[in-house]
Amino acid sequence: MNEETTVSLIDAALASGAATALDPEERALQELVLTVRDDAPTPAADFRLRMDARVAAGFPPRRARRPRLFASAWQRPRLAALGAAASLLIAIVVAVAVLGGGDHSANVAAIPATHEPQRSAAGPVGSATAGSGSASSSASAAPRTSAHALGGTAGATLESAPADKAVAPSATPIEPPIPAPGPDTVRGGQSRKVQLSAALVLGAPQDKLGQVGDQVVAVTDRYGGIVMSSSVTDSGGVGASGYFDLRIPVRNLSAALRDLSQLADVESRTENSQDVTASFVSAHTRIQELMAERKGLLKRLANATTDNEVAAIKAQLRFVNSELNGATRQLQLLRRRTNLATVSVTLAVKKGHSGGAGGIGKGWHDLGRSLVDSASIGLRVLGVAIPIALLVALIWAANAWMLRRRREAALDRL
Amino acid sequence: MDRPQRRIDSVSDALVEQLSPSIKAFNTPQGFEELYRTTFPRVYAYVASLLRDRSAAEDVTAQAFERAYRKRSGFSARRGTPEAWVFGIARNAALDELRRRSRGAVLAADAADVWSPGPDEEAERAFRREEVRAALASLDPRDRDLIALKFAGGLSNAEIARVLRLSESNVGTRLHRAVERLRKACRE
Repeated sequence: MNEETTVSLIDAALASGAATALDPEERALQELVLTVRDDAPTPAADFRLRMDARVAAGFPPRRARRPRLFASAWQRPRLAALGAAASLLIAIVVAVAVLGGGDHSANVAAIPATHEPQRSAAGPVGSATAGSGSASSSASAAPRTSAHALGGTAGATLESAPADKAVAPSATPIEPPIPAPGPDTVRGGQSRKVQLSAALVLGAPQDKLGQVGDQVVAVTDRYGGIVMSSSVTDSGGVGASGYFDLRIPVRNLSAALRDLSQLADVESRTENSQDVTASFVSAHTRIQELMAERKGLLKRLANATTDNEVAAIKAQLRFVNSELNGATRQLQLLRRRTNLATVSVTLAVKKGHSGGAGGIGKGWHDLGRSLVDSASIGLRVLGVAIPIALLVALIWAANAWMLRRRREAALDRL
Repeated sequence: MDRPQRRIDSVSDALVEQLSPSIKAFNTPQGFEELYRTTFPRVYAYVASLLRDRSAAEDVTAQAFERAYRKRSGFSARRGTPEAWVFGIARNAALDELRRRSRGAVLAADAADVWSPGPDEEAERAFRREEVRAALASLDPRDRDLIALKFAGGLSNAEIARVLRLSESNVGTRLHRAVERLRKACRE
């Protein structure tokens, strides 16, 4: 008897409830099938009544249940263990992601520091070292680097990289001037005289050029400076520019440069220092010598007895006085140079901005950056969510597979 | 799932849609009650045949119907007929009960506890029944499971395929072999 015959005989017997086959063997099979079916256990009457009532009532709860989650953990300890392991893994993934993001944030937070170049606190004099001749040092994109101080005719240069962060002129914070250390800072018992100068190139939108120029003057006034000369050319095209020659008190130079840098985008910034101590001392000594000579001449004049002698001494006195005046002027000039720093500010039209279209261009730029930021955040979220979802799906599938295996294994042990 | 099995499933789904218009009403309490009335004796017979313990069979049957009632909104015709779905739940509950028994201290039930022959049953028929029971008891548990689903549960081969996650042709083959083994056991 083949498989097809067996199946059809079984189905026929179960459908009709009788053994209808003529062949004795087939009939025996059908009788066996019916015997097995008729011998199937039947539910007790009371159980049936109870079930009928429960179904009719919609299976009301018979006793207070444990909370679902707790009950699940109680009944399926392996599942609970898997859940705990998954939670731990998720926590590790999130922690790693957060820690990674923290490092990135630190890097990002460090960037603005490069946008605001600052002179070293003491300037070239504060960290002065003995030296002679002339020298200079340059530090690109490292505005916090201390400039080397130099003895004799020494110079130090600080250049900052062009800043890419635009600062609206109207948003310029007004801070109280911070006095800079004076040029008479004493190191090793010697008073040093330093002449400071700085050059700024600011990039601003064309339509803001005039406004930035006004603010340059305002900053200069605020810090007690002088505008030696200024020119702003608004040609209405690409050639628009501006130039300011300023003198700022040295004690206010740091604060003034900071405020000037915030008026627009800093495209370049250069600071120079020149030690003029030697010239200063030389002029001072020369004055002292001339004064001593003059004093001596005056004594000789008082003791002169002849007209010729008096005339000769007076002639020498005129010469000495003339020399003294010259030396004094030179000293005053040096003092003025060391007390007032020379600052030149150049205004240029910022690249990518042309007149009124700057607003729209900036808007597009901001839109692009916002989209990039959003995409970045979305990718980060996906980067965390996808592994977690895969992990949960894997755990769920593994649990279902294990449960099925355990159930089939229970059947084998029957 | 292999390709032939998927094709079988799609054909079965189509048949379910055509032949069981009550499926859509199955989600309502009335529809579920109708399903209960048609399947309750068969589900109990199958579970009792598997567990061979009247008390446990009652608990498991009640548990299976309650679980089906709670999950009835999640039923999909893709899972086959409602009958096959209920039998699948009952089978899982019965196997869980067997797992609990194998784990802990559950008293072994008397195999004869499930069957309660009537007092006026003819001796010859009673003898024949005992003979068949003994033959069934000697079978492999998987064969017993299959025979219980077919004869006590009254499921079609397609429905059994759904419950056991096998192909319908595989069910036919296994059923043929199981019946052959049963006949051989009866002859011995």
